Amino acid sequence: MNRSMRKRGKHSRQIRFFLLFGCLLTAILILIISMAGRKEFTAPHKFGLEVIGPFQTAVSKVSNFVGGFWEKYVALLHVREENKQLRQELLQYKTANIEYREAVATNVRLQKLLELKESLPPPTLTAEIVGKDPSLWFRTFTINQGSSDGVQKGMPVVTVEGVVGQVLTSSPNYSKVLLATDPNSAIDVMTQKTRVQGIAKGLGRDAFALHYVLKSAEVEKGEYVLTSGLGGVFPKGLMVGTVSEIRKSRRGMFQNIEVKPAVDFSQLEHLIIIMKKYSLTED
Amino acid sequence: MFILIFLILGILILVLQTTFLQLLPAWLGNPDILFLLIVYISCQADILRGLVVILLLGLLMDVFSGLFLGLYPVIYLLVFAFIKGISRRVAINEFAYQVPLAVVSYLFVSIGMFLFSLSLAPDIPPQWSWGTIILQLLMLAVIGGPVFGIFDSIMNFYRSLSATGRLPGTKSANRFK
Repeated sequence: MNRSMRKRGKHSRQIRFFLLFGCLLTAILILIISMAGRKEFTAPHKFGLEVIGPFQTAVSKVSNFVGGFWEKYVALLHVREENKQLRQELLQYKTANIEYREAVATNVRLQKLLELKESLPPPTLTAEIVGKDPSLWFRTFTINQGSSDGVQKGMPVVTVEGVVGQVLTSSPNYSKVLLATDPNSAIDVMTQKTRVQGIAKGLGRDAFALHYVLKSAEVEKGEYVLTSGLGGVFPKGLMVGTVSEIRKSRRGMFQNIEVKPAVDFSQLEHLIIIMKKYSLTED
Repeated sequence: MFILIFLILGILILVLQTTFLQLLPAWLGNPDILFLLIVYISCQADILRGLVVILLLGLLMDVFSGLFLGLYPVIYLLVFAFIKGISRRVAINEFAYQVPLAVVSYLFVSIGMFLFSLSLAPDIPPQWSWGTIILQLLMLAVIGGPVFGIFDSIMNFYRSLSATGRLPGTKSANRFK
């Protein structure tokens, strides 16, 4: 008698457990499905970002200070500093050289029909990285500028070295940036010398795949890849990377081209957000 | 109070993970301490409180990682359901089981994320790097013990507070009172 009652009690407990668990899971799944697939932040997400953002900024500053202290003063005191300076100088010269080449190529191609306007940079905004995506599968950053500063979804994010990515979503004071190397990112690009156009897609590591380049097109290894200005997101002529590998498989119409990014994504600290989404050569 | 304590702990870990721990060299991996917290909560908390904390942490993780909202709550809830399911047969709330459980769960989650990424961009299949995954698993196995120890001491602190009745709104465990 006692045993059967105990057994029945155990059964009813089990049923209650599964009922409770099932109800809760269903309720939560309904909640999640209602927002699944969306990339725009809802009010709770924005609130979360706004609350945690200041903590991230503070910890990030402390981390950068500690990291910077270690790098600059403890490990290789003078050599590292000199190396950093030389690299910066080299970068400046490289950038100047690319800009010069791009200007010359544009002039020749248009046969001086158009006068290349002195392209004033559009309004820009400097931002600092306050947090990085901890996941192995996504490549995003959190920056300390948001919609109250005029940052909007889709705005290009660059550094002196080249394209970094674009703004994915923003809250009043913080924004999330999708890196160009994320597999969900795609940028209209062209090669500088041979003017071949294609789409650079992130490979999830420090490389891009240059898509839709026909086998008949001539692309050279080591050639610079720049934004083409098509698509209206990135201004024309921004450095994306250099062609590092070209493979022509027997099947298919297109070449398999890999591009090495111009930006060292592991060393990013300060970024520039281009507030105008149109080409530098357009009015 | 349990929800508040573990939510604050989760936020602190998330902040550390997105800032300070990013300074670690690449060869050392990027330890997912928040995932260990999810496993710990799944092992130790009751269903209702566990679900609330895990859902909130998933929503917060969505803000700082990935592109698609709702991905992390789903993943964390699946981990929670998986661990709760196992806990009905094995006494996994014992310390010795938690580290292997965290490692196995992380492997499943990585496989799930890989398949999800694959379905999003079939033309650019994500790279499954055994080296990186094994490094992460090793990292979790190494830091799992001490981290669970810290979580245990926080849990004991919470229980002692509850037991002494110093927390407003906490009920006595004695049902026959």
